[in-house]
Amino acid sequence: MNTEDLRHAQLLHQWLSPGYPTGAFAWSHGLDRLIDDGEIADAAGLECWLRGVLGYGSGWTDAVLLANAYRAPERADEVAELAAALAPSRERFAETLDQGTGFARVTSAVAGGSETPRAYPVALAVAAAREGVGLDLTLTLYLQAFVANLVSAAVRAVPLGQTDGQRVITALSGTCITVAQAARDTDLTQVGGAAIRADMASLHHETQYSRMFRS
Amino acid sequence: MQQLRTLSGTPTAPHQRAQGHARVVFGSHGRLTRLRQQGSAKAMLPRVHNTMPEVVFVNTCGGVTGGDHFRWELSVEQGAAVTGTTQAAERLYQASSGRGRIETVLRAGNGARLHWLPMETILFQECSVDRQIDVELEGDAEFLGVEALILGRAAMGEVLRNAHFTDNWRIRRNGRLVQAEAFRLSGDLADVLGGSATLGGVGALATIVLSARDAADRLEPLRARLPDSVTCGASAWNGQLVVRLHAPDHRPLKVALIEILTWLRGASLPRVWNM
Repeated sequence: MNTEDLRHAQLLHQWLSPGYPTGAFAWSHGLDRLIDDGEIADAAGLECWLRGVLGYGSGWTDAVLLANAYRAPERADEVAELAAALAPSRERFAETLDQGTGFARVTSAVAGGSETPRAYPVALAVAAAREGVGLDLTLTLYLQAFVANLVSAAVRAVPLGQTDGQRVITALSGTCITVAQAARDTDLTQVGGAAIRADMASLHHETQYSRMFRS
Repeated sequence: MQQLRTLSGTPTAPHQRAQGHARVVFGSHGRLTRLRQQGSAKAMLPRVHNTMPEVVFVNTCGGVTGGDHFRWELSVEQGAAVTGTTQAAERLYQASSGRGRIETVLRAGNGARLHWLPMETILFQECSVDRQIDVELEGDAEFLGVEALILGRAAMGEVLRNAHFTDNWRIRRNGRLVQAEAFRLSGDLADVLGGSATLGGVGALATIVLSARDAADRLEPLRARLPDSVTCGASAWNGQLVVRLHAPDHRPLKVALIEILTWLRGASLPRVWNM
């Protein structure tokens, strides 16, 4: 690895670490409701749900949006408009816009570049393209961070141990790569999926009595 | 399967490709100003006892399969109102080759009301269709729309195993994209049909969208009315009110849709909904 590759790995590690101030810890993508309802109660249930979200839900759609904004940063506003419009609920809209806005604010303050508020995968794509970070690595680690964030939410909300949480992340690492590879050369007509039960959970979260998360 | 042959002996496709285009425009005075029907697409204007005129679109082929192309257009100009519907469920049949395409274009001028309330779409095993629904709103136009999907004919014991269907909605107001829906099924459906995040237990689904100035104000009264006979939820943001419904099969879904849509539009639904 040359120093440029190492710098790119450092950047992705910084941007996608839970310490980067995007507020990721506050969002659960509807998991809060499913845990509250007892629909997800163990590692196997969590892994199965996350596999569906990765392959047929926002994992796939975000990866397609990210790849398209990365390959044509001059069209980032168009991709960002689509990304925002694709949100299936008020909370999922806020989840992607809030994180993207936080990401762009801190990244532009630290290293320059765009501070335009955009949906999270588009904001990350613009920064990665600007720094010359590779698309495959950006996509794979974006998905991995998405999974890790939701596993962390589940570990806080259900009696799921830290080790079981890491087992789920490990079990899904191959899916992150598969989805990233499939999305890298797509065009925007390929967004979308069928994670309709995950979307329903986010609608139901809005009326949940006691909420640990903002989505 | 034995191929049909023409006199010259060359094989021909067993299915004749169908195409149709119907375009209806209502002027600002609320009367029909343009009606164009071509191919297998027809548009009828039944006499209605309602303040909103109705347009009923008809696919005279009774379904869509690979290679077919249908285009439905309904426009209502400034200040006027119209309801669009279809005569029957849209059946997406098994395709021997190619993709079918359905395009729906709905336009409403400033102050106009457009309600798009078609019958459900039924996906058959090995169907292959891409559908695009473009809604273009100006000023404070009101749009109410619904699409219901039935995944195979559960009542007949049919399970979808393999199909291609994409459904893309793009709703724009004054040229700006305010909502996009992208449903996508393609290929082997075993994983997606059984998944807890995806379609597990869902045989029929529907999405209702109300795009209007008072959309957010209607969320709480609507939530109090949501039926518990199906799984459903509602949300409102950016001037859009969205209701999503899931059911094991079509019957309970339709009952719930009639209840919610009737309340949202403050008027009864086109007659075809009660047949």
